[in-house]
Amino acid sequence: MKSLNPAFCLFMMIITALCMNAQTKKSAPPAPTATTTTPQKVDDLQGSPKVITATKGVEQYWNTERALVKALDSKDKAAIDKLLSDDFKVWMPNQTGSAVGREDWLASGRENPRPVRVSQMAVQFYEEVVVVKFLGEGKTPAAGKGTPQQYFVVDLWEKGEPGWQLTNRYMSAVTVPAPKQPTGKE
Amino acid sequence: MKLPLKNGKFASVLLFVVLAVNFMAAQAIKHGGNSAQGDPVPDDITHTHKGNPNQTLPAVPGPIGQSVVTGNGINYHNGPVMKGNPVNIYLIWYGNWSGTGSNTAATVSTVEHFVSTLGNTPYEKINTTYGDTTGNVSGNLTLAGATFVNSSSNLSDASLQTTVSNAISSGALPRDSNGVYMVLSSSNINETSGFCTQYCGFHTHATLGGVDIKYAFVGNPDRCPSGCEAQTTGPNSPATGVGGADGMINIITHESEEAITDPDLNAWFDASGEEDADKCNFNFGTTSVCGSTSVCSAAGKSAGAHFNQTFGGNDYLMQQEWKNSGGGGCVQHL
Repeated sequence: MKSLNPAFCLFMMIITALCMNAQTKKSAPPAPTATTTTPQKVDDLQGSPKVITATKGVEQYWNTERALVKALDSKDKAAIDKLLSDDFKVWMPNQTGSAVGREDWLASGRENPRPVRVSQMAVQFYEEVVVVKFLGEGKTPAAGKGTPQQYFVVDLWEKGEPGWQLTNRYMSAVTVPAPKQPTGKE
Repeated sequence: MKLPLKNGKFASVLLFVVLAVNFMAAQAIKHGGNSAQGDPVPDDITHTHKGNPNQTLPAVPGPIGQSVVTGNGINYHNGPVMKGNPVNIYLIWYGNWSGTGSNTAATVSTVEHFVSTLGNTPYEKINTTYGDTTGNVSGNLTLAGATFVNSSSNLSDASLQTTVSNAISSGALPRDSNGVYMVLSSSNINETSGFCTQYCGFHTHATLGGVDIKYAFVGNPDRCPSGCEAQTTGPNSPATGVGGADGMINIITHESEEAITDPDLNAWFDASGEEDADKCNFNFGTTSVCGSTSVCSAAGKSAGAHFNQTFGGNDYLMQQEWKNSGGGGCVQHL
Protein backbone atom coordinates (compact mmCIF):
# COMPACT_ATOMS: atom_id res chain seq x y z
CA MET A 1 0.00 0.00 0.00
CA LYS A 2 1.35 3.38 -0.98
CA SER A 3 1.02 5.86 1.99
CA LEU A 4 -0.27 9.44 1.59
CA ASN A 5 2.19 12.33 1.72
CA PRO A 6 3.00 12.85 5.46
CA ALA A 7 3.14 16.64 5.05
CA PHE A 8 -0.29 16.65 3.51
CA CYS A 9 -1.64 14.55 6.37
CA LEU A 10 -0.13 16.92 8.91
CA PHE A 11 -1.73 19.86 7.12
CA MET A 12 -5.12 18.17 7.19
CA MET A 13 -4.79 17.47 10.91
CA ILE A 14 -4.01 21.14 11.60
CA ILE A 15 -7.02 22.30 9.60
CA THR A 16 -9.24 19.82 11.41
CA ALA A 17 -7.99 20.93 14.79
CA LEU A 18 -8.59 24.61 13.96
CA CYS A 19 -12.13 23.92 12.83
CA MET A 20 -12.97 21.98 15.96
CA ASN A 21 -11.52 24.73 18.14
CA ALA A 22 -13.49 27.48 16.40
CA GLN A 23 -16.78 25.68 16.59
CA THR A 24 -16.70 24.55 20.21
CA LYS A 25 -15.30 27.68 21.83
CA LYS A 26 -18.13 30.19 22.27
CA SER A 27 -16.76 33.69 22.57
CA ALA A 28 -18.34 35.95 25.13
CA PRO A 29 -19.63 39.19 23.68
CA PRO A 30 -17.11 42.00 24.09
CA ALA A 31 -17.45 43.58 27.52
CA PRO A 32 -18.42 47.25 27.64
CA THR A 33 -15.50 49.52 28.20
CA ALA A 34 -15.31 51.07 31.65
CA THR A 35 -14.52 54.72 31.47
CA THR A 36 -11.64 56.14 33.41
CA THR A 37 -12.14 59.70 34.44
CA THR A 38 -9.39 62.25 33.94
CA PRO A 39 -8.38 64.63 35.29
CA GLN A 40 -8.70 63.42 38.88
CA LYS A 41 -8.51 66.90 40.38
CA VAL A 42 -11.85 68.67 40.21
CA ASP A 43 -11.57 72.17 38.75
CA ASP A 44 -13.20 74.45 41.33
CA LEU A 45 -14.32 76.85 38.62
CA GLN A 46 -15.92 74.15 36.48
CA GLY A 47 -17.24 71.65 39.00
CA SER A 48 -17.21 67.94 38.35
CA PRO A 49 -19.13 66.30 35.53
CA LYS A 50 -22.21 64.89 37.14
CA VAL A 51 -25.85 64.05 36.56
CA ILE A 52 -28.09 66.06 38.84
CA THR A 53 -31.51 65.57 40.37
CA ALA A 54 -33.11 68.89 39.54
CA THR A 55 -34.95 70.78 42.26
CA LYS A 56 -38.71 71.28 42.01
CA GLY A 57 -38.04 74.92 41.22
CA VAL A 58 -35.80 74.02 38.29
CA GLU A 59 -38.40 71.59 36.98
CA GLN A 60 -41.06 74.30 37.25
CA TYR A 61 -39.13 77.11 35.61
CA TRP A 62 -37.62 74.84 32.96
CA ASN A 63 -41.19 74.36 31.75
CA THR A 64 -42.06 78.05 32.24
CA GLU A 65 -39.06 79.36 30.31
CA ARG A 66 -39.70 76.92 27.48
CA ALA A 67 -43.36 77.99 27.41
CA LEU A 68 -42.19 81.59 27.16
CA VAL A 69 -39.96 80.82 24.19
CA LYS A 70 -42.80 79.01 22.51
CA ALA A 71 -45.16 81.94 23.07
CA LEU A 72 -42.62 84.44 21.74
CA ASP A 73 -41.68 82.34 18.72
CA SER A 74 -45.32 81.81 17.77
CA LYS A 75 -46.26 85.42 18.62
CA ASP A 76 -49.08 84.16 20.86
CA LYS A 77 -50.26 87.49 22.31
CA ALA A 78 -52.39 86.01 25.05
CA ALA A 79 -49.58 83.78 26.30
CA ILE A 80 -47.05 86.60 25.98
CA ASP A 81 -49.23 89.00 27.95
CA LYS A 82 -49.60 86.39 30.67
CA LEU A 83 -45.86 85.76 31.02
CA LEU A 84 -44.25 89.14 30.21
CA SER A 85 -44.94 92.11 32.44
CA ASP A 86 -45.96 95.42 30.84
CA ASP A 87 -42.66 96.97 31.87
CA PHE A 88 -40.50 94.00 30.78
CA LYS A 89 -36.98 95.04 29.90
CA VAL A 90 -33.94 93.31 28.40
CA TRP A 91 -30.48 94.30 29.56
CA MET A 92 -27.64 93.21 27.32
CA PRO A 93 -24.27 94.63 26.33
CA ASN A 94 -24.71 97.58 23.98
CA GLN A 95 -23.09 100.89 23.22
CA THR A 96 -25.14 103.05 25.60
CA GLY A 97 -25.91 100.70 28.47
CA SER A 98 -29.61 101.26 27.90
CA ALA A 99 -32.29 98.67 28.44
CA VAL A 100 -34.46 97.51 25.57
CA GLY A 101 -38.17 97.94 26.32
CA ARG A 102 -40.88 95.35 25.85
CA GLU A 103 -42.30 96.63 22.59
CA ASP A 104 -38.91 97.31 21.04
CA TRP A 105 -37.73 93.82 21.98
CA LEU A 106 -40.83 92.12 20.57
CA ALA A 107 -40.53 94.14 17.38
CA SER A 108 -36.82 93.51 16.98
CA GLY A 109 -37.31 89.94 15.79
CA ARG A 110 -34.36 88.80 17.91
CA GLU A 111 -34.30 85.10 18.65
CA ASN A 112 -35.23 84.35 22.26
CA PRO A 113 -32.72 82.05 23.97
CA ARG A 114 -34.12 78.61 24.70
CA PRO A 115 -32.81 76.77 27.77
CA VAL A 116 -31.16 73.60 26.54
CA ARG A 117 -29.49 71.97 29.55
CA VAL A 118 -31.31 71.63 32.86
CA SER A 119 -27.94 71.19 34.53
CA GLN A 120 -27.24 74.80 33.54
CA MET A 121 -30.41 76.14 35.21
CA ALA A 122 -30.60 77.34 38.80
CA VAL A 123 -33.62 78.87 40.56
CA GLN A 124 -33.61 80.94 43.72
CA PHE A 125 -36.83 81.88 45.47
CA TYR A 126 -37.21 85.07 47.44
CA GLU A 127 -40.37 86.49 48.88
CA GLU A 128 -41.29 88.74 45.98
CA VAL A 129 -38.84 87.61 43.31
CA VAL A 130 -37.69 84.40 41.68
CA VAL A 131 -34.25 84.51 40.08
CA VAL A 132 -33.69 82.04 37.25
CA LYS A 133 -30.39 81.63 35.48
CA PHE A 134 -29.74 79.36 32.53
CA LEU A 135 -27.60 78.85 29.48
CA GLY A 136 -29.77 79.53 26.49
CA GLU A 137 -29.38 78.84 22.82
CA GLY A 138 -30.60 81.09 20.08
CA LYS A 139 -29.57 82.31 16.68
CA THR A 140 -27.96 85.60 16.00
CA PRO A 141 -29.30 87.20 12.84
CA ALA A 142 -26.20 89.35 12.39
CA ALA A 143 -24.07 86.35 11.46
CA GLY A 144 -26.59 85.46 8.82
CA LYS A 145 -28.92 82.56 8.31
CA GLY A 146 -29.31 81.40 11.88
CA THR A 147 -25.83 80.89 13.25
CA PRO A 148 -26.22 79.20 16.68
CA GLN A 149 -25.34 81.39 19.64
CA GLN A 150 -25.25 80.69 23.36
CA TYR A 151 -26.48 83.23 25.91
CA PHE A 152 -25.99 83.43 29.65
CA VAL A 153 -29.39 84.55 30.90
CA VAL A 154 -30.59 85.77 34.31
CA ASP A 155 -34.33 86.31 34.56
CA LEU A 156 -36.24 88.05 37.34
CA TRP A 157 -39.81 86.82 37.78
CA GLU A 158 -42.14 88.86 40.00
CA LYS A 159 -45.66 88.33 41.25
CA GLY A 160 -48.08 90.23 39.04
CA GLU A 161 -51.82 90.43 38.51
CA PRO A 162 -52.11 87.40 36.22
CA GLY A 163 -49.46 85.52 38.20
CA TRP A 164 -45.68 85.34 38.08
CA GLN A 165 -44.32 87.41 35.21
CA LEU A 166 -40.90 88.08 33.74
CA THR A 167 -39.94 91.67 34.48
CA ASN A 168 -36.23 91.83 33.71
CA ARG A 169 -33.90 89.73 31.60
CA TYR A 170 -30.11 90.10 31.72
CA MET A 171 -28.35 88.31 28.89
CA SER A 172 -24.92 88.11 27.28
CA ALA A 173 -23.61 86.17 24.33
CA VAL A 174 -21.11 83.56 25.50
CA THR A 175 -19.32 80.46 24.32
CA VAL A 176 -19.39 77.60 26.81
CA PRO A 177 -17.99 74.30 25.55
CA ALA A 178 -20.16 71.31 26.31
CA PRO A 179 -18.81 68.91 28.90
CA LYS A 180 -17.51 65.67 27.48
CA GLN A 181 -20.00 63.56 29.39
CA PRO A 182 -23.72 64.15 29.86
CA THR A 183 -24.51 66.26 32.89
CA GLY A 184 -28.29 66.12 32.80
CA LYS A 185 -30.84 67.28 30.30
CA GLU A 186 -29.00 68.43 27.21
CA MET B 1 -5.26 -3.87 -0.23
CA LYS B 2 -3.98 -1.15 -2.48
CA LEU B 3 -5.97 2.15 -2.58
CA PRO B 4 -6.31 3.70 -6.02
CA LEU B 5 -4.00 6.76 -5.87
CA LYS B 6 -6.31 9.09 -7.79
CA ASN B 7 -9.42 8.28 -5.67
CA GLY B 8 -7.43 8.84 -2.50
CA LYS B 9 -6.20 12.23 -3.68
CA PHE B 10 -9.69 13.31 -4.70
CA ALA B 11 -11.11 12.33 -1.33
CA SER B 12 -8.37 14.24 0.44
CA VAL B 13 -8.96 17.38 -1.59
CA LEU B 14 -12.71 17.14 -1.01
CA LEU B 15 -12.16 16.72 2.71
CA PHE B 16 -9.86 19.74 2.67
CA VAL B 17 -12.47 21.90 0.93
CA VAL B 18 -15.19 20.87 3.40
CA LEU B 19 -12.96 21.61 6.37
CA ALA B 20 -11.80 24.94 4.95
CA VAL B 21 -15.37 26.12 4.43
CA ASN B 22 -16.22 25.02 7.94
CA PHE B 23 -13.24 26.90 9.32
CA MET B 24 -14.21 30.14 7.62
CA ALA B 25 -17.82 29.86 8.82
CA ALA B 26 -16.56 29.34 12.36
CA GLN B 27 -14.67 32.65 12.23
CA ALA B 28 -17.94 34.50 11.58
CA ILE B 29 -19.56 32.81 14.60
CA LYS B 30 -16.62 33.88 16.78
CA HIS B 31 -17.23 37.55 15.96
CA GLY B 32 -20.87 37.44 17.11
CA GLY B 33 -22.38 37.44 13.70
CA ASN B 34 -22.02 41.20 13.38
CA SER B 35 -20.08 42.52 10.49
CA ALA B 36 -19.10 45.62 12.49
CA GLN B 37 -16.32 44.06 14.49
CA GLY B 38 -16.19 45.27 18.10
CA ASP B 39 -19.73 46.70 17.97
CA PRO B 40 -21.68 44.86 20.64
CA VAL B 41 -24.99 46.58 19.89
CA PRO B 42 -26.52 46.21 16.46
CA ASP B 43 -26.69 49.51 14.62
CA ASP B 44 -30.21 50.70 14.08
CA ILE B 45 -30.88 54.14 12.72
CA THR B 46 -34.20 54.30 14.57
CA HIS B 47 -32.35 54.16 17.89
CA THR B 48 -29.76 56.86 17.33
CA HIS B 49 -28.56 59.14 20.11
CA LYS B 50 -30.52 61.99 18.56
CA GLY B 51 -33.76 60.06 18.52
CA ASN B 52 -37.06 61.40 19.74
CA PRO B 53 -37.34 60.43 23.42
CA ASN B 54 -41.12 60.36 23.14
CA GLN B 55 -41.14 57.91 20.28
CA THR B 56 -42.30 54.46 21.36
CA LEU B 57 -40.79 51.76 19.23
CA PRO B 58 -41.15 48.00 19.51
CA ALA B 59 -38.57 46.50 21.81
CA VAL B 60 -35.55 45.17 19.96
CA PRO B 61 -34.12 42.15 21.74
CA GLY B 62 -30.38 41.83 21.63
CA PRO B 63 -28.56 38.86 20.16
CA ILE B 64 -28.30 35.71 22.22
CA GLY B 65 -26.10 36.22 25.25
CA GLN B 66 -26.50 40.01 25.21
CA SER B 67 -28.90 41.88 27.50
CA VAL B 68 -29.44 45.24 25.80
CA VAL B 69 -33.08 45.95 25.01
CA THR B 70 -33.85 49.28 23.39
CA GLY B 71 -36.84 51.08 21.96
CA ASN B 72 -38.46 51.96 25.28
CA GLY B 73 -37.80 55.68 25.36
CA ILE B 74 -34.29 55.43 26.78
CA ASN B 75 -31.10 54.66 24.89
CA TYR B 76 -27.99 52.60 25.47
CA HIS B 77 -24.58 54.14 24.87
CA ASN B 78 -22.31 51.10 25.23
CA GLY B 79 -21.15 51.73 28.79
CA PRO B 80 -21.36 49.30 31.72
CA VAL B 81 -24.14 48.93 34.26
CA MET B 82 -23.58 47.67 37.79
CA LYS B 83 -24.48 43.99 37.87
CA GLY B 84 -23.43 43.10 41.39
CA ASN B 85 -25.78 40.81 43.27
CA PRO B 86 -25.96 42.70 45.44
CA VAL B 87 -24.56 46.14 44.65
CA ASN B 88 -22.96 47.49 47.79
CA ILE B 89 -24.18 50.82 49.13
CA TYR B 90 -21.86 52.75 51.45
CA LEU B 91 -23.13 55.74 53.39
CA ILE B 92 -20.92 58.61 54.49
CA TRP B 93 -22.78 60.74 57.02
CA TYR B 94 -21.23 64.20 56.69
CA GLY B 95 -21.81 67.15 58.97
CA ASN B 96 -23.52 66.96 62.36
CA TRP B 97 -25.86 64.00 62.70
CA SER B 98 -26.15 64.31 66.45
CA GLY B 99 -28.07 67.53 66.21
CA THR B 100 -31.69 68.58 66.19
CA GLY B 101 -34.65 68.47 63.85
CA SER B 102 -33.93 65.78 61.29
CA ASN B 103 -30.16 65.81 61.86
CA THR B 104 -30.44 63.00 64.37
CA ALA B 105 -29.72 59.35 65.04
CA ALA B 106 -33.38 58.67 64.24
CA THR B 107 -32.84 59.83 60.66
CA VAL B 108 -29.68 57.75 60.40
CA SER B 109 -31.56 54.71 61.62
CA THR B 110 -34.52 55.27 59.26
CA VAL B 111 -32.33 55.78 56.21
CA GLU B 112 -30.04 52.83 56.96
CA HIS B 113 -33.04 50.58 57.51
CA PHE B 114 -34.45 51.74 54.18
CA VAL B 115 -31.25 50.96 52.29
CA SER B 116 -30.98 47.60 54.04
CA THR B 117 -34.45 46.51 52.95
CA LEU B 118 -34.67 48.06 49.46
CA GLY B 119 -32.88 45.26 47.62
CA ASN B 120 -35.01 42.78 45.66
CA THR B 121 -38.22 44.73 46.30
CA PRO B 122 -40.67 45.02 43.39
CA TYR B 123 -39.58 48.65 43.11
CA GLU B 124 -35.89 47.85 42.87
CA LYS B 125 -36.66 45.14 40.31
CA ILE B 126 -37.52 47.88 37.80
CA ASN B 127 -33.76 48.22 37.40
CA THR B 128 -33.50 44.65 36.09
CA THR B 129 -34.86 45.89 32.77
CA TYR B 130 -31.49 47.57 32.22
CA GLY B 131 -28.34 45.79 31.21
CA ASP B 132 -25.19 45.90 29.17
CA THR B 133 -23.72 43.37 26.78
CA THR B 134 -22.60 41.05 29.57
CA GLY B 135 -25.71 40.97 31.72
CA ASN B 136 -28.51 42.80 33.47
CA VAL B 137 -28.81 44.71 36.70
CA SER B 138 -29.66 42.26 39.49
CA GLY B 139 -32.23 44.39 41.32
CA ASN B 140 -30.44 43.59 44.56
CA LEU B 141 -28.48 45.97 46.74
CA THR B 142 -27.37 46.02 50.33
CA LEU B 143 -26.08 48.41 52.96
CA ALA B 144 -22.47 47.32 53.10
CA GLY B 145 -21.00 49.96 55.36
CA ALA B 146 -21.37 53.40 56.89
CA THR B 147 -19.12 55.98 58.46
CA PHE B 148 -19.42 59.44 59.95
CA VAL B 149 -17.44 62.55 59.03
CA ASN B 150 -18.08 65.21 61.64
CA SER B 151 -17.56 68.60 60.08
CA SER B 152 -19.05 72.07 59.92
CA SER B 153 -17.41 72.90 56.57
CA ASN B 154 -19.49 73.25 53.46
CA LEU B 155 -18.82 70.85 50.62
CA SER B 156 -17.77 71.63 47.08
CA ASP B 157 -17.49 69.19 44.18
CA ALA B 158 -13.78 68.92 44.90
CA SER B 159 -14.09 68.38 48.63
CA LEU B 160 -16.91 65.92 48.09
CA GLN B 161 -14.60 63.74 46.03
CA THR B 162 -11.91 64.14 48.67
CA THR B 163 -14.37 63.05 51.36
CA VAL B 164 -15.11 59.85 49.48
CA SER B 165 -11.44 59.27 48.78
CA ASN B 166 -10.51 59.79 52.43
CA ALA B 167 -13.22 57.43 53.66
CA ILE B 168 -11.68 54.72 51.51
CA SER B 169 -8.00 55.45 52.03
CA SER B 170 -8.47 55.67 55.81
CA GLY B 171 -9.91 52.19 55.83
CA ALA B 172 -13.30 53.31 57.11
CA LEU B 173 -14.83 51.88 53.95
CA PRO B 174 -13.41 49.39 51.46
CA ARG B 175 -12.32 50.30 47.95
CA ASP B 176 -15.08 48.63 45.99
CA SER B 177 -15.77 48.90 42.29
CA ASN B 178 -19.10 47.21 42.99
CA GLY B 179 -20.03 49.96 45.42
CA VAL B 180 -21.95 53.22 45.37
CA TYR B 181 -20.71 55.69 47.97
CA MET B 182 -23.35 58.19 49.07
CA VAL B 183 -22.36 61.32 50.96
CA LEU B 184 -25.33 62.43 53.06
CA SER B 185 -24.99 65.94 54.47
CA SER B 186 -26.84 67.38 57.45
CA SER B 187 -29.05 70.41 56.86
CA ASN B 188 -26.49 72.90 58.18
CA ILE B 189 -24.12 71.90 55.35
CA ASN B 190 -24.26 73.35 51.85
CA GLU B 191 -22.80 71.90 48.66
CA THR B 192 -21.69 75.07 47.03
CA SER B 193 -21.94 73.96 43.41
CA GLY B 194 -25.71 74.29 43.51
CA PHE B 195 -27.48 72.31 46.24
CA CYS B 196 -31.02 73.65 46.69
CA THR B 197 -30.78 76.12 43.78
CA GLN B 198 -29.92 73.71 41.01
CA TYR B 199 -30.10 70.21 42.40
CA CYS B 200 -31.21 68.07 45.32
CA GLY B 201 -28.50 65.49 44.67
CA PHE B 202 -26.23 64.14 41.98
CA HIS B 203 -24.09 61.15 41.07
CA THR B 204 -20.80 60.83 39.29
CA HIS B 205 -17.66 58.72 39.33
CA ALA B 206 -13.90 59.04 39.52
CA THR B 207 -10.85 56.84 39.46
CA LEU B 208 -9.63 56.72 43.04
CA GLY B 209 -6.65 54.56 43.88
CA GLY B 210 -6.87 52.98 40.44
CA VAL B 211 -10.48 51.88 40.89
CA ASP B 212 -13.57 53.30 39.20
CA ILE B 213 -15.51 54.57 42.21
CA LYS B 214 -19.15 55.56 41.85
CA TYR B 215 -20.36 58.18 44.31
CA ALA B 216 -23.30 60.46 44.96
CA PHE B 217 -24.30 63.49 47.00
CA VAL B 218 -27.64 63.71 48.82
CA GLY B 219 -28.22 66.70 51.06
CA ASN B 220 -30.75 66.84 53.88
CA PRO B 221 -33.65 68.55 52.08
CA ASP B 222 -34.85 70.19 55.28
CA ARG B 223 -32.33 72.82 54.20
CA CYS B 224 -34.71 73.72 51.33
CA PRO B 225 -38.03 71.90 51.70
CA SER B 226 -39.77 73.79 48.92
CA GLY B 227 -37.07 72.79 46.47
CA CYS B 228 -36.30 69.23 47.42
CA GLU B 229 -39.16 67.76 49.46
CA ALA B 230 -42.49 66.47 48.27
CA GLN B 231 -43.97 67.06 51.72
CA THR B 232 -42.64 68.59 54.93
CA THR B 233 -44.04 65.78 57.08
CA GLY B 234 -43.35 62.34 55.72
CA PRO B 235 -44.60 58.87 56.61
CA ASN B 236 -41.57 58.37 58.89
CA SER B 237 -41.35 61.85 60.36
CA PRO B 238 -40.71 61.86 64.13
CA ALA B 239 -42.57 65.16 64.38
CA THR B 240 -44.61 67.50 62.21
CA GLY B 241 -42.46 69.44 59.80
CA VAL B 242 -39.45 67.18 60.25
CA GLY B 243 -39.43 65.60 56.82
CA GLY B 244 -35.72 65.28 56.17
CA ALA B 245 -35.43 61.51 56.46
CA ASP B 246 -38.26 60.82 54.03
CA GLY B 247 -36.99 63.54 51.70
CA MET B 248 -33.52 62.03 51.69
CA ILE B 249 -34.93 58.57 51.04
CA ASN B 250 -36.60 59.82 47.87
CA ILE B 251 -33.38 61.40 46.60
CA ILE B 252 -31.29 58.39 47.64
CA THR B 253 -33.62 56.24 45.56
CA HIS B 254 -33.12 58.53 42.56
CA GLU B 255 -29.34 58.60 42.79
CA SER B 256 -28.90 54.89 43.50
CA GLU B 257 -31.10 53.87 40.56
CA GLU B 258 -29.02 56.02 38.25
CA ALA B 259 -25.64 55.14 39.70
CA ILE B 260 -26.51 51.50 39.00
CA THR B 261 -27.90 51.91 35.49
CA ASP B 262 -25.52 54.67 34.33
CA PRO B 263 -22.49 54.50 36.64
CA ASP B 264 -19.93 55.99 34.28
CA LEU B 265 -22.37 58.41 32.64
CA ASN B 266 -22.13 56.51 29.37
CA ALA B 267 -24.75 53.74 29.56
CA TRP B 268 -28.45 54.51 29.82
CA PHE B 269 -29.96 57.95 29.11
CA ASP B 270 -32.33 59.36 26.54
CA ALA B 271 -31.80 61.84 23.72
CA SER B 272 -32.21 64.72 26.18
CA GLY B 273 -29.60 63.29 28.52
CA GLU B 274 -32.17 62.15 31.07
CA GLU B 275 -31.41 58.98 32.98
CA ASP B 276 -34.04 56.53 34.21
CA ALA B 277 -34.92 58.40 37.40
CA ASP B 278 -34.64 61.87 35.79
CA LYS B 279 -37.50 60.92 33.50
CA CYS B 280 -39.76 60.52 36.56
CA ASN B 281 -38.30 63.23 38.82
CA PHE B 282 -40.77 64.12 41.59
CA ASN B 283 -43.35 61.93 39.84
CA PHE B 284 -44.90 59.70 42.51
CA GLY B 285 -47.88 58.21 40.73
CA THR B 286 -50.81 57.05 42.82
CA THR B 287 -50.29 57.58 46.53
CA SER B 288 -52.07 56.64 49.73
CA VAL B 289 -52.54 58.81 52.80
CA CYS B 290 -51.21 57.75 56.18
CA GLY B 291 -54.19 56.54 58.15
CA SER B 292 -55.10 54.38 61.08
CA THR B 293 -54.23 51.15 59.27
CA SER B 294 -50.94 52.26 57.72
CA VAL B 295 -47.56 51.82 59.36
CA CYS B 296 -46.70 55.52 59.17
CA SER B 297 -45.43 57.36 62.23
CA ALA B 298 -47.88 59.20 64.45
CA ALA B 299 -46.73 62.51 62.99
CA GLY B 300 -47.18 61.16 59.47
CA LYS B 301 -50.70 60.01 60.27
CA SER B 302 -51.71 63.25 61.94
CA ALA B 303 -50.37 65.28 59.01
CA GLY B 304 -51.96 63.04 56.41
CA ALA B 305 -48.59 62.30 54.81
CA HIS B 306 -48.57 60.48 51.50
CA PHE B 307 -46.81 57.22 50.70
CA ASN B 308 -46.66 54.80 47.77
CA GLN B 309 -44.36 51.98 48.91
CA THR B 310 -44.42 49.64 51.89
CA PHE B 311 -41.59 47.24 52.71
CA GLY B 312 -39.37 46.33 55.59
CA GLY B 313 -42.11 47.39 58.00
CA ASN B 314 -42.17 51.02 56.81
CA ASP B 315 -44.12 53.22 54.44
CA TYR B 316 -42.22 55.45 52.04
CA LEU B 317 -42.94 58.07 49.38
CA MET B 318 -40.56 57.36 46.49
CA GLN B 319 -40.57 58.72 42.98
CA GLN B 320 -41.40 56.34 40.18
CA GLU B 321 -38.74 55.04 37.84
CA TRP B 322 -38.65 54.58 34.09
CA LYS B 323 -38.96 50.95 33.10
CA ASN B 324 -37.03 49.77 30.07
CA SER B 325 -39.69 47.40 28.78
CA GLY B 326 -43.16 47.38 27.31
CA GLY B 327 -42.63 50.68 25.57
CA GLY B 328 -41.30 52.40 28.69
CA GLY B 329 -42.99 54.60 31.29
CA CYS B 330 -42.81 55.74 34.91
CA VAL B 331 -43.84 52.90 37.23
CA GLN B 332 -43.87 52.08 40.92
CA HIS B 333 -42.87 48.46 40.49
CA LEU B 334 -42.07 45.95 37.79
